[in-house]
Amino acid sequence: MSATLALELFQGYPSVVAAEIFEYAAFGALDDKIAVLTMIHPELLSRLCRARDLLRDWEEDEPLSITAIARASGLTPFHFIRLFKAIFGETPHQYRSRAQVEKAKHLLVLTNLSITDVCMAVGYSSLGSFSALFSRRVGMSPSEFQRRYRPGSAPERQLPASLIPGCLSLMTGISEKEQFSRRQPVDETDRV
Amino acid sequence: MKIKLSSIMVENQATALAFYTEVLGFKKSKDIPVGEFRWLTVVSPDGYPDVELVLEPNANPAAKAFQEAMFKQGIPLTAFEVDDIEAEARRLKKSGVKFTMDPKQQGPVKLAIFSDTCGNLIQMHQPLQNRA
Repeated sequence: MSATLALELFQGYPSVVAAEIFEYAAFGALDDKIAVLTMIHPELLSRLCRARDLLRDWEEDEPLSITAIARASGLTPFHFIRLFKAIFGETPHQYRSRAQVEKAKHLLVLTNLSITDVCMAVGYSSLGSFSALFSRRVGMSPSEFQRRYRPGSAPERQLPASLIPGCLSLMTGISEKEQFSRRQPVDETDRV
Repeated sequence: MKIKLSSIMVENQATALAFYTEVLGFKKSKDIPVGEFRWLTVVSPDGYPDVELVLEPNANPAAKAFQEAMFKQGIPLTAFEVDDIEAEARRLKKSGVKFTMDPKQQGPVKLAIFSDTCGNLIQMHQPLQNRA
């Protein structure tokens, strides 16, 4: 590990720890020695949580690139991706596409949005690649998913219980009606 | 009446099982398909064999909101007891586990907090007084 990388790595750490780590790095000690020494500073943890929010919800029309989110977190893309995976169990890219599919599932069931609108709403500009991602993850196309799970005319739509796991309740036989369900606070544009 | 199950919500049950068994060292106990998800539990070889930890999917939006808020606040969702917290922390760090708090004495215990890669912070604790 180079000293420059080490410096960048330990932004946000208390200076004593950072100095100690920098010393190790400067003398060419091994990566795992550094890993053993360090913990994630609360400040860095909150920056990573913020990055996770940015990956899922964005204020602009276009979702930010992973590189931009890394920079916003004060890390190089390489280190950002590594750290994100170590903490959240998947890469930023994997996290984003899973979140997009989850959001799409909810929009398809809970709103009157067309497939194209849902595709745009989750940050895809190409219907083809959105449908391909959705089908790969969910096992059916967005339109089939909508046909299957969207209730016909209900003015107050809610996610069907079959899409919400309630393991404990399932195991003890509580009826599906008693399981928690919730409507997403999404824009209900009525197009009928 | 006895305490038999404790549950922890996880982002992905398959990767959670891998982390809780291969990294933490628990053993799989039950694995029953329930629709899209699984009734998945692990037990601790060092602990009480009849107490099971349920790795429960967090797909309920309310569960996810709670889990993320607790994570952001740095609050661990459960705690596991260990005999030698320094050794455990070293072992886990070598497997790439990220800690948000290194082992530190707080009253009668030593505590450490790490990320379980499933969306939770987990606390480890080692009681410092000899127990009878």
